[in-house]
Amino acid sequence: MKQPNDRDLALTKRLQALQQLNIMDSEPEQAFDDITAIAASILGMPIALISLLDDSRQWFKSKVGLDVCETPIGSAFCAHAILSDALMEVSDAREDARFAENPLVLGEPHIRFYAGVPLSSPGGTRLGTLCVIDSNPRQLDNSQRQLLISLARLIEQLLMLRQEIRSNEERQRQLVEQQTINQQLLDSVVEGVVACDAQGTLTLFNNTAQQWHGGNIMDLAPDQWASHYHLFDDDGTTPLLVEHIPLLRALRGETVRNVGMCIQAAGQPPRFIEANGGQLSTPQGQLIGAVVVMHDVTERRRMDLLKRNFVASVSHELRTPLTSISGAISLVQSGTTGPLSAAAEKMLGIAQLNSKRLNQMINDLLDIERLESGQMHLISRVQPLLPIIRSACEINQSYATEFSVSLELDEPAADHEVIIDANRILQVMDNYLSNAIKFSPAASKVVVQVELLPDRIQVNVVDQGSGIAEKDQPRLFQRFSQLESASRRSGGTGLGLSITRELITRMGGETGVVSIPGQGARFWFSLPLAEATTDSPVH
Amino acid sequence: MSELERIMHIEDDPSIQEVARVALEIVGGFTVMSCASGTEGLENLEAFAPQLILLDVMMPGMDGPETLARLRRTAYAASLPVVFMTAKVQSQEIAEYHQLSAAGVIVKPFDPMTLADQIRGIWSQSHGQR
Repeated sequence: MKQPNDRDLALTKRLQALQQLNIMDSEPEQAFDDITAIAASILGMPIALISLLDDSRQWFKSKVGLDVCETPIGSAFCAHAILSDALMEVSDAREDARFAENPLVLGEPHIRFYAGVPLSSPGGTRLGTLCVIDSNPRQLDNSQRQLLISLARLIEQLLMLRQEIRSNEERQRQLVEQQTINQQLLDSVVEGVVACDAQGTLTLFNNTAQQWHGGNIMDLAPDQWASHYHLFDDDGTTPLLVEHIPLLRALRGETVRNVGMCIQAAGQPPRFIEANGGQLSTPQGQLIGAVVVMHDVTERRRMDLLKRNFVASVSHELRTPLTSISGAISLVQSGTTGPLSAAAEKMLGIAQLNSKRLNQMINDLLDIERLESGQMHLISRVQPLLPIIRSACEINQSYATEFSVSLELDEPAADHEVIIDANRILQVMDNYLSNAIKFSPAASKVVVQVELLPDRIQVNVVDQGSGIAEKDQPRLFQRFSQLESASRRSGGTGLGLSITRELITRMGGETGVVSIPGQGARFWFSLPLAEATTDSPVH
Repeated sequence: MSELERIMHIEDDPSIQEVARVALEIVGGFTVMSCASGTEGLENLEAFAPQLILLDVMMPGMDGPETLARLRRTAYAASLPVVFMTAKVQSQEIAEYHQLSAAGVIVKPFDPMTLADQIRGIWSQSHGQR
């Protein structure tokens, strides 16, 4: 294989340089034509050329005294000239062994005299020449040679400047293209995107934002803004203070996260949005401005409101007939409407029990719904825990008696305060106690233990029932789990434990169960002590 | 403190009306007038002259709170004890009803055997506060 020699490498470099300059076959340019005109005129030459050589031809960027644009490289004098940095002068081509047989000497344009100075690219690669040609033999004096060399340097400067201008133009074009793409991108998103510079002047207001504000705010003077739109707080009625505008908050350095706002644009219904945004800075940390992205949450809020109303009206719709059923049965059972047979009493008992079950189920379902949709409002305050536990035991005493189970409370030496909603703790105790009692064998004991731990207080409800298999334990506190279906068969709703877990978690505590099959179960919950928490009461 | 004898019950559901009537008249011994809407209640207010009004919260048309507001604008019922009856049980909502100048709140489903006692309790409490 032929090794690449120096000439091949030089050719490759030359071709690359010509490619970068993007000059081959380009249009004539005035600056280059001026120089060849000067060269021809001052030196008194009929022909002056700026020639560039690729791998097959010499092509003339500028020419005086010649009609053709290019000639094959084989006969090019310039191909010899670019072999060195120095000016190449041929006084009489016929006397020069290199050129005596050259077609350009023997035929048109009958070259006898040639002088060429190599031209280099900005990177230093020789590309071609500035040359002058005469059909008579002659010689240049030193000042003429200097002139030619100076003109060649001028051409090299021109080539460099030309390349600079072109790459600037290309960068500019790319910048504009990128900006157009960016703008299209921002206009295609559903969210409203706005940005400002470090002084707070708006720099971006995408299509969506324009729609939402009733116009392109960037085109309007600030005193015109109020005629297009008004801004309100989350509630839709309190006018938004200027310093609360999300973009300005972001500019001041706040991390804007899901900040609610209402935009009332002229002729549009109120639009509720959530804004997210922050500051923009250079990698070096210099402030550029701020950007905010807004999501339209109007529909979601409407759905939430509908859902809340739905839950409320379902609650009412279901409870009203239940009230009548259970109320009517109660009145008959009590003998108010007259004496009853034993069979009638029994039937009424069943009806009443199930009516109470239905009611409990409605309560549980509504609780679960509220907990899941964040509508459950706990009114928690700092209070001692023991009185509530005692209450719970009293309330469930009769239930225990029904099942022939004895209920015991094991108190610690001292009471402690916790942050809780008392009614909900009663609900949790009801859940644990009713489960314990239901699954206890007759004549057994259910013990409620309250123990004080370093930063928590824990309530344990221990029964002597059949216990729970280990494989069933993880899913116990989920809705409608295995234990729950057993509980349902004995009158429970299948939701009690999951509600208990949610409630205790909301109050900052934990729940769990410890059980060995055949040895009963210990259901527990713990709550952080009020003195261990520094937060104010939770809602 | 005078005895509570005459109660007006404003409730749109006929079944509840009937159950409450038995609970209040037969168990409680009161004289009860049932009205199916806030409007009907207002119309019969002076003629029946109740000492206490039991008022359902969720009714079509004029609901409980609105009826209460109207009652408070009449000369007769400006400071009459009014007890709300509602299926809503969140503590927050109960607190709101108390704030609306109600004398008390009874939660549905109510126990007809104890309704009369509950009402008597609210009656004596409201008299104690005067």
